[in-house]
Amino acid sequence: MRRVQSIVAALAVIVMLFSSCERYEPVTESQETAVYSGDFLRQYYNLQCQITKETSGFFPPQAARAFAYVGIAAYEAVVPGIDGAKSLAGQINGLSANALPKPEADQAYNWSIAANAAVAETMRKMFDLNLSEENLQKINQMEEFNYNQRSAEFPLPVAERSVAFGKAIAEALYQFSMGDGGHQSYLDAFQLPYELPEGPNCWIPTGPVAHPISPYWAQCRPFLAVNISETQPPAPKAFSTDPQSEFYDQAMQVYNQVTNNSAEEIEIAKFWADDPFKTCTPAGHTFNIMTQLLEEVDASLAKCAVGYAKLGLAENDAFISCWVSKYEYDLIRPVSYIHQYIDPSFQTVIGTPPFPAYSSGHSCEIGVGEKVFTEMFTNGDGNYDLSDRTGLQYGFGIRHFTNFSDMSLECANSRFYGGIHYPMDNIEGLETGRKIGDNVVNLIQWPTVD
Amino acid sequence: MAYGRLIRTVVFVAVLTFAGCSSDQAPKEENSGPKIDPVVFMADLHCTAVELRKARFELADKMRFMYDTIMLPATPEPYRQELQQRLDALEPYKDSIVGRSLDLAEVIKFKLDSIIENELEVGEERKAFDEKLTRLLKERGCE
Repeated sequence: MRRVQSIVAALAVIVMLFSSCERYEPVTESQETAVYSGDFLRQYYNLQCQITKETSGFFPPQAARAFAYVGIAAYEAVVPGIDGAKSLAGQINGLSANALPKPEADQAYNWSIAANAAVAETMRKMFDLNLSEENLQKINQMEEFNYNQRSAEFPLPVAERSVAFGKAIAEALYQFSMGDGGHQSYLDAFQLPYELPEGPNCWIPTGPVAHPISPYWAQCRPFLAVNISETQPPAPKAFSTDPQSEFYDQAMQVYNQVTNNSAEEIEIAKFWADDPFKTCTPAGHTFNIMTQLLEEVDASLAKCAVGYAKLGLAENDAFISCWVSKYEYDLIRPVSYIHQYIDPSFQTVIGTPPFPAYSSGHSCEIGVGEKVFTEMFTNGDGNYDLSDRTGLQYGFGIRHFTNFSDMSLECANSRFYGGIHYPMDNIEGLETGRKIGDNVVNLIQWPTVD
Repeated sequence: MAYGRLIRTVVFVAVLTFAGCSSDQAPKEENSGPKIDPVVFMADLHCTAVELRKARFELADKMRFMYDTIMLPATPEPYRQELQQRLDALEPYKDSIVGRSLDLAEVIKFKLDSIIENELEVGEERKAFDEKLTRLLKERGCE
């Protein structure tokens, strides 16, 4: 009988041991942001790329702005969990130090849940009136899935408090965004009425779109004022139809390049143009590269949030800065000039986008990408073995680079190979972008994260 | 387009579901049947994507050159109207090809992400995958 009792007791102990193995102690204290995976944030950016393609009114400036606010929302939702990190409130233009909600003192939060709520809410707000029901459901499903995955090990009050904090961040940022000049600009991307300047040097339509995109975008509020005031390129070469002039030479360079393009150069032009019909814009391509890089280094939530916020700030300001020079000089596109003064049968490799030439938006935005990637993923030399696979899904090959400056230079040159930009557009655009990238990396106090 | 939406929704839900699977939940090798080489699988998909890409650019060029002709001052009005009608007639084809491209792009993205993240280590394995895929595509003429 004692033997039976002993066996029963031993079994009871074993059962208790195993059942305690299956139980977990609910986490009741805030953990550092760096302990969470950043995978879900990368999934949101993939989704945002897809939504950008499918939502009307999201041209490059509008898309860059939306990517930016989502990145800032992610950062602000997790910044309390990064040791020594500073909020962007008080650091960026127009956002005062107390403009954003703060977590309650002595209360536990899950920063992953907070970021999930902040990002989903900001995405809904950025696409808002033009967001399709299908894409709204995708955001909602992703948010719910992430919440269910993350909330299981946390007491309900912690999870709910984290959601409330994330949504409060999103709402405060949305209020801030409403005053930046780009609010719901997807409803009126052409900002009509706009009177086209007239003159032989001036932009004229190059396709069925009779009006240039967002002619007043330069009036939008940048995140750093110096990104506009200190980054403007010099005036373009003086317009001239004289075959001996520097301007004519710029056009002739385009003409000669396009008529002698190699197969590789045509491929490069098309690869960076992304797609003739559907694209999540050049900024979206650069965000796709960021997403790939973050995956390759298995980035934590902290690193992902910092990365998307940095790139977002820089991309947003890149398009504002670039749009300043585009509409200040209102320069005629190469195709229009060449048709009139060199060869009326000239055909570009890719379509010319509907806005003035100088400087190049692609070059400007990839310039900021180069600087942000170099700072985040290298020791400062820019060396990185990058295989850009972002075009595979659209039938492009993989492009390899060993340095981020090679990547940005190829992107800038692609507009020359494509016949849609003069060489000076790309050189100056790239320079502007690099300055903006440096500003965002250096003038804002970012935390050091792994 | 409703079919396209269904495909996209199914892919999206699959992405969410698989994203939640940790490696220890992966199906066992012996139960999953003959394993398809991920490079071959990707090459099959990519070749279709290349065809669609070529068709998109061809269509885009065709439409662009028609616009160019319409805009030329020397183009006679009757021909201009004819070109406009031909352009309008191309719109349904454009919608169709873009829809098919987007659906396929989502499938490729999902599969590629899954292979990259779950089957290949960062570094040499991924590099080898890229090289093998590029070589196979070249062999098949999918460039």
